[in-house]
Amino acid sequence: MDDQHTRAELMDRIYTMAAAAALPFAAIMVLDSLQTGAGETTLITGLGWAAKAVMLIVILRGLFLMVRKWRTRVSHTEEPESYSGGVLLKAAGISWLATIVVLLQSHRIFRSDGILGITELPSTQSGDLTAAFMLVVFSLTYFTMNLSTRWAEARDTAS
Amino acid sequence: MTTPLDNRIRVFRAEHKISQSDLARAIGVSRKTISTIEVGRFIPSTVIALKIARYFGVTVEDVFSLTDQS
Repeated sequence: MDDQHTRAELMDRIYTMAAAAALPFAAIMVLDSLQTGAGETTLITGLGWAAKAVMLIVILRGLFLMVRKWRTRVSHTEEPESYSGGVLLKAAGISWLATIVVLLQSHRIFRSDGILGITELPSTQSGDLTAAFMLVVFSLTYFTMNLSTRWAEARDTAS
Repeated sequence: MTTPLDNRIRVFRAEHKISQSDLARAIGVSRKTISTIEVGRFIPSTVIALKIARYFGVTVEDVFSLTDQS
């Protein structure tokens, strides 16, 4: 069972990496939209490069973990059951629902006199912002659920 | 949010003097999965429940019970 355990631990870390990667990816999309809308400034360019660097680190780390996972001698059809895997799916579901709500309300959010109080955005920019919103909700939901579990574990250990 | 499932994993672990990591390694899941089952955050599949019970040499009912049974 040792390989299966190693695979399970690696899977948990890959799930966390996937959730972590969503944040710099969302930042890149928002910064690209800002660059298109407000023009290129030193701050936006700098933040864009920082987000890309973080994204690269997370992707490399994720690839490293995936290679280690593939090297375990466990059948690929026998994926270990995992709490983190369940949380990742829940986070994905919540982010999809939240995004559908945003899309249904997009005429109020992205048009003039709308919630954001900005002039009507081109469809590419509003699309990027909606996708970024989905990624941020996905990532934050994953980490919030994990954090609340950690508190429950700490409470349980203390009691 | 906790599940409607009580478990005695911690008691059995203490009796067998093993850590969550040891149990996780023995049944092939991550330590976090064991820890979340233990605190009632995660309902394990039948397979995992059977593996835990088999590891301790008891029945599934000895390890898990429904909260409203009490």
